[in-house]
Amino acid sequence: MLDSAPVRAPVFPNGEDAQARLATFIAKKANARWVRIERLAPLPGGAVLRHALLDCEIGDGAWAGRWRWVLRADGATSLGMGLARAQEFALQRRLFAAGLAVAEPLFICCDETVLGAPFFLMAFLAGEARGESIVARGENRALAAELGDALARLHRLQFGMKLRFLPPPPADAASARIAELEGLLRADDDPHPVAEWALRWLTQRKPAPLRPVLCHGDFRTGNYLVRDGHLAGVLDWDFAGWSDPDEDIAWFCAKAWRFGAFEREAGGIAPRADFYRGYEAVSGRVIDGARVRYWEVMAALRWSVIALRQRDRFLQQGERSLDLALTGRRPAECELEILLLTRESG
Amino acid sequence: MGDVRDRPEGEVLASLAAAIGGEPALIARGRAIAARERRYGPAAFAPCRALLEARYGNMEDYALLRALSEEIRAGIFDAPAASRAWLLRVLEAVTLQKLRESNPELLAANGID
Repeated sequence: MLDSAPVRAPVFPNGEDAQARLATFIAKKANARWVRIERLAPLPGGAVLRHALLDCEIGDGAWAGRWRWVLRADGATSLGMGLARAQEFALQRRLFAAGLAVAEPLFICCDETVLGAPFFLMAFLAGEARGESIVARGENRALAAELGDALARLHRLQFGMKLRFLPPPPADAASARIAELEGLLRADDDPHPVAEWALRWLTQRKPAPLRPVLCHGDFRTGNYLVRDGHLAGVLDWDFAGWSDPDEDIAWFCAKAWRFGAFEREAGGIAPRADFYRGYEAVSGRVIDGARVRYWEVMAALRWSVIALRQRDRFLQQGERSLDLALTGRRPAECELEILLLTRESG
Repeated sequence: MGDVRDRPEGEVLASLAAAIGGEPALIARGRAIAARERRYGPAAFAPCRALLEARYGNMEDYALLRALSEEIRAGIFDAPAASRAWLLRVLEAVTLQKLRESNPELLAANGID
């Protein structure tokens, strides 16, 4: 179902009332008598959610001192996919506790009267996240290996029953993803014959399933931080869930996320071999290129469907954003990739 | 064959860019798409339409694409026969024309056009 919720009010109002409400919220969470908001400035990036840099001072208690945090809030309109802020917050706590390179999540607020949308606060990590900037710095094979290492560490985490807020692991991740994408495509008003072709191709060529692992779901250049040429943190866990480990690997290598550096197949930063080497060293699993190729077709289809959903935030939900509107013209890029990949693979 | 184009149309993008602004690169992209759509005009997808009409008859663009989608879903093109070659020719023709208007740089990067 398409989300037809109205456009929310701006989540980062400059008014003193909003900042006062935020200060009150933090004071309550930190058990402090007073909190002073020094800066609340929107951060660039993030097509689905919104972010702001928050500088604040906490007057007393265990959190006394000056802090630099990031506020991560729902968008003005909804993509209708992915985790809710409370789920993402809970997951990120688990990941931080497990020692992964993620920002420490601090406080969650589901009360929309505070800022107009659910949000959580997390520690600020310094670094460059813009995909174009990271790719523009040229090849970085060490970074690709670090990313492979980090992804394998995520995939090998054993959470047992601790992530019950996530949908249960699918027996066959490819079938589950195909069903999800098929449903979303059927709900779209326009016919998409290339996407239909991809669904058919993917259905007929499903590889034997691997044991599902906890996947990031959007592990790509643009969703990690780089500092001094090295991985500083992995961002944006709202698409996380149980899936096939090769889905994350293929998403990272998908042409859409190379930011124009198509020849550097690992996220536009390095040859695939460096990323694979980092992953294989930790996971102990040799990556099967044919499986990854299969999941790259899935990645192209999935990004195409997400782009349609982004477009609908403009067309149907009324969010006046040129970025969202332009995203409606991006499925053709995915369709070209689908045609190229499926032609090569028969 | 105007309905083949993905939404929103170029004119909508250009109007939005003029109305609300935004990053210069995005504004330029919106305007460029609109300009290319005007340049290619309503006949841009005529070759695609001719291929589809030969199979499905004279219908609206939307109905032609819907008929094609339904046949794909029904498995009509599963076997690697002449019909699949035709399908891929149609899909490629539609996709390339869309990209000529929305992202010709991607075609160039892939050594196409």
